[in-house]
Amino acid sequence: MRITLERSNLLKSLNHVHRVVERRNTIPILSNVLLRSDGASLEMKATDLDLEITEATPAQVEQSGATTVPAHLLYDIVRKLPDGSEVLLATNAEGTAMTVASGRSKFSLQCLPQSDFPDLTAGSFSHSFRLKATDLKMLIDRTQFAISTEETRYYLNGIFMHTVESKGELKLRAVATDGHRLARADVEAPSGSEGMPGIIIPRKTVSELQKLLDNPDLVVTVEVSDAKIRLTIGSIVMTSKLIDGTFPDYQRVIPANNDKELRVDCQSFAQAVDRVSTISSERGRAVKLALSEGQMTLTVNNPDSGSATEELPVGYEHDPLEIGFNAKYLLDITSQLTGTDAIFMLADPGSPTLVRDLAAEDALYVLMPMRV
Amino acid sequence: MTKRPFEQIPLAFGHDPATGREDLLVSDRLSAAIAIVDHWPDWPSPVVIIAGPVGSGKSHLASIWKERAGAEVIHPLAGSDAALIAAEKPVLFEDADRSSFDDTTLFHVINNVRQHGTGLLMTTRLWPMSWPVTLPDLRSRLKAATVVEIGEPDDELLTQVLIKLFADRQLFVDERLVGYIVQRMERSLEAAQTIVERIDHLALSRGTKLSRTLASEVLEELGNQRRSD
Repeated sequence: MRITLERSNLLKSLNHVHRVVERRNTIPILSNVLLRSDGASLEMKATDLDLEITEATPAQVEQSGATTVPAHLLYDIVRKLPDGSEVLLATNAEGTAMTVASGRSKFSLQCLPQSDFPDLTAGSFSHSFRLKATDLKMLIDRTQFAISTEETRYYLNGIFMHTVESKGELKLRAVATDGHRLARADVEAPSGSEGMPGIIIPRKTVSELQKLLDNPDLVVTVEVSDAKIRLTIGSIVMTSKLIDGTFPDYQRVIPANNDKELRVDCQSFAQAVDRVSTISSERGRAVKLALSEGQMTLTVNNPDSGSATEELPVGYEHDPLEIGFNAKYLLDITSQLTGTDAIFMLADPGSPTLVRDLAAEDALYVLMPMRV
Repeated sequence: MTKRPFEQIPLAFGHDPATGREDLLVSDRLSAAIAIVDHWPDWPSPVVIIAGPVGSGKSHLASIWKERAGAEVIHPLAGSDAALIAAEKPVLFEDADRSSFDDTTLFHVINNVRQHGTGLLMTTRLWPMSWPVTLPDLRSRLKAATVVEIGEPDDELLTQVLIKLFADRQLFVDERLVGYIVQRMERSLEAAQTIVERIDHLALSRGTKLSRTLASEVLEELGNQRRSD
């Protein structure tokens, strides 16, 4: 293989694919990125056996071929090359080393044979639809923070995506929960998504996908089966295994009859929570909200360091109520809200609270309280 | 148990226990009751009562039989159409000792089952002799029924039950952890349910793995509760 391409193109594509590669690997080939040149392009592919990203970029191909080199190493080299430069990639006759040359810099990287590179066989997909990148990004942005990071409950380690009939319309819905809070977001279901299986997209795939959706003009082609998802975003193709588990019946934890409405100014509320929680310990981040007509008193008590109180005018016209929440969860949710005001629908100190964003009707959040 | 100052309350998702025939845990204690279900409709008598402690698999067996026999669930209360249904198809009456029933209606249900050869399966924690029956004719009908008892669980069954209860919640636990619990728990299936529920709840509340420390905390907490009862 012998090709020349612009450093910026190579860097951009490597930036997309190299993140899939884990820093530590017991299987050497998984540390490598597959480079395959053909016609007038260079295709790069990286995988961790659960997720695979492929991207093609224009290149002048003198001699086509394929090889694999350490992904992070190649990325670091290209990143440090001067902006605007051209890069030559050339393998030796034996295929055991690849030269990376640009200007006066020259590197030689050890290669592993491309035939050893694993292929995440996609199989056939039962459903295929096209979705605006902005819609997909919104579904991810609104829910990602609630994904569980605790591995025992593997079925919560992703975003549950499915279609659902809501208010007479078919919606494509994303839901994530860690068992303490839940986030739900809807967009209009695109044509072709009807009847798709409910799928759980793993956390790492969600996180990588989110970084690829920065161009709002893009349209993403989504293909799904029971076991895999494939997303095509311009010249990038992302294939991922899905989480093989059953997502819990989330509908039953979304309260429908909470009758105590609390309206807060998002920014003032978030700032107050942040201020009083300064005093809380790492282990217990509970903040107590004492509600009375038109007023909220936020209190944090930390037996080791002291206490904090702040009063905030709010819209509340019900019986007094005291309820505790994890301060971090309150901050996470308020950071999702786009409007100036948020509505909290409360029932009692032991039941789920519903949070709605007045500026984004298609998203809702459920937060479980803490006993304080 | 050391009470933590603040406790995160987890979302109550619930779960669907697996109730198919292939999910049934077979042990010697259950074999007579399983044989009854598997041998339907060749029953020794048209009325069968499965008696066993909480969590011993009565409802699971009843659900398999209901599916197999195409049976309908009845509640023999006064004025209900339970006896009419029993004349037409096999019927299931669950938790007979804890659900209130009308003596005369149940008596008619049994008569119709016998007359029309349909079949009645009842589940109960207490033997039928302990039921609050006042109608002498019903007493004699119940005496004539086949009673199959599910015994107290042994270690092997407790192990299988714990693994199934965790698996129902999509929790796959280390065998050594299950062994640890079995060695220290009260010998009942009800205790197994309580332990799994409590471990699941605490692990979700704290966002932690299922560990021996957590199991030991739950066992100690339940042990203390028993002592104070």
